[in-house]
Amino acid sequence: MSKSEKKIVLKSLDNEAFEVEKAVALQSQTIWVMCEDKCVGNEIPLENVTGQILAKVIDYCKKHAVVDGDGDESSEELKNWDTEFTKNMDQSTLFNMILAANYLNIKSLLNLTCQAVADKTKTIDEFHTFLNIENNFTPEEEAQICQENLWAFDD
Amino acid sequence: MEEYIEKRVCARGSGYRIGEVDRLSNLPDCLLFEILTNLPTKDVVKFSVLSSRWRNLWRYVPGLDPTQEMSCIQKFRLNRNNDVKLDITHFTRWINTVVERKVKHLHVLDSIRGWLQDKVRISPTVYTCESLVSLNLYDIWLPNPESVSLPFLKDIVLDTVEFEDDRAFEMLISGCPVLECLSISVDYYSNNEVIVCSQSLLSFTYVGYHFLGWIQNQEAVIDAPRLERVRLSDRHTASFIVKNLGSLVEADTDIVFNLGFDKNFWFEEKLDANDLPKREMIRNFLVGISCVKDIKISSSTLQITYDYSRCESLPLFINISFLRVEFFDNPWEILPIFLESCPNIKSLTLGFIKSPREEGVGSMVPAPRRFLVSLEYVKIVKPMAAEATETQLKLVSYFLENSTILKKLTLCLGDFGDKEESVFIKKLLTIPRLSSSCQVYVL
Repeated sequence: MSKSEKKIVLKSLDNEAFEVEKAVALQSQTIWVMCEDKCVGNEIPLENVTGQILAKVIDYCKKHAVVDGDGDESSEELKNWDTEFTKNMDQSTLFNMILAANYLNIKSLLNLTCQAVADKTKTIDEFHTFLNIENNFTPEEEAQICQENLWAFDD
Repeated sequence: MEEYIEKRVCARGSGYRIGEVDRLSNLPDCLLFEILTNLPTKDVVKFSVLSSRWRNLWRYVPGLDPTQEMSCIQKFRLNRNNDVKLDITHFTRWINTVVERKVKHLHVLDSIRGWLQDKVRISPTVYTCESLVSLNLYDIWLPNPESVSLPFLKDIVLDTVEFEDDRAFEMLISGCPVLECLSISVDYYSNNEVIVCSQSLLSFTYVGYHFLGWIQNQEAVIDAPRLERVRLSDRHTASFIVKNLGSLVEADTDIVFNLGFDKNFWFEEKLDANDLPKREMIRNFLVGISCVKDIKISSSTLQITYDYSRCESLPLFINISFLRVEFFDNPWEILPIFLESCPNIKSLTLGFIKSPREEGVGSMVPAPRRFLVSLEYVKIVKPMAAEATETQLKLVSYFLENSTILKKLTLCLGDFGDKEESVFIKKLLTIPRLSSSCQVYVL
């Protein structure tokens, strides 16, 4: 296998180009299918992902590709890395990471980012704030909904 | 796409949040579900109060396990009617499922009247549903239980429910140690005996078959030392055996002990003075409920009480302070003798659905007149018809002339013409009043 075949170029929506190992990129089911179908050349345009987000996605994939390939890091360490990875992401970044993981079809990254949102929103108020949902219920309606699902609100 | 870039650029320049704060909640449902599956089921359900979009979102989140979190189903109501023709073969499965989920309130109503084979059959698992608090069944068939354990069941309503045999009902009641309210209605002829023995029962309603029957031995037994309220409405049951009703406060009785067939098949409540067992049963019944404070009595029951009083004296109802009588077509003269057995009565309300029969009056032995020494309020709410003016005046005279401390007599007039009304009121005013403080109100 030649060097060019082992490498692949991912091009973000804002035209940032990233040259990565094929093994890294192929963690994305979407890219994998594109390569399988030979419908793209060596450069893959990713029109839904910005460079900033793509860089993070690639970081994640590199980390996981290395581990999966060589097994030189324990799953414990990998878990810690994942936690650190998402720990300081704000909601906007998380939002875009989720969209990117979904678009690129990287199941483990999708799980990780969704879990991160869930972790940041333990209480209903946190969820409210984090998602900035505008509550369009009157207090009466709210009470009625509580009543409908009393078993969930009873503690 | 351009807008997207613009936003990103803008976000880079001024911090992430500006202009994008609510985008996470704008994720498509499938991605929100990915987030929500990471949260405890209860929390996800709580998000139903966030906004209208979220109200029912939780119901579609795959992989939530409400059964694990939901310690019990509060209420399960199953109603089969002509609009919703549910196949009864599913009923057992559904009921078993909610019983497993620790249902608290189970209501199964079948409004399609079918033959026995089409009746909804309650599955026996209900008899041991330890979470059950209220049970409401309408037109259901109940099998014989092997055992009954309903430690929290407080409320039972059985409307037109058919039991496999008497044992089923008796076992059901005896398996409910905290039962407080029991209501039974029967609207077909049934040979099932009603035996209610409960140490906890506070309220009991029995609406029985409303036609007289040929079978003379139908029996109902009520043994409930904490019972406070009882309502009995039945023509078919020959004997009501009551025991330990010392806590009774309110009674509503419309029962005739299956009396009424005379030789000509004329339906008229009549107690045969020679029927000693029947007299004994009636005596025990009257003594059994004699501690009651507030009683509503139908004129049919009052008639039987009157017939009984002609044979032997009535027990004293020393606690009765409120009495209401609904007259159908019995003469009002059956009332005084009962009133005289209520030495502490304060308030009396009378209603007349039909005018009293005039012909009955002549044949009645006038009651020994005693003064009504405790009666303060009399109210005649459903008036006699205008043609019964004389009877009405006699009734009013009886109260005005015999009540020593009467404060207020209220009379609702029937369809009187203006002229008739003024004649009536003139006559009314001439009636002497024993109580000096008595006021008469005509409505």
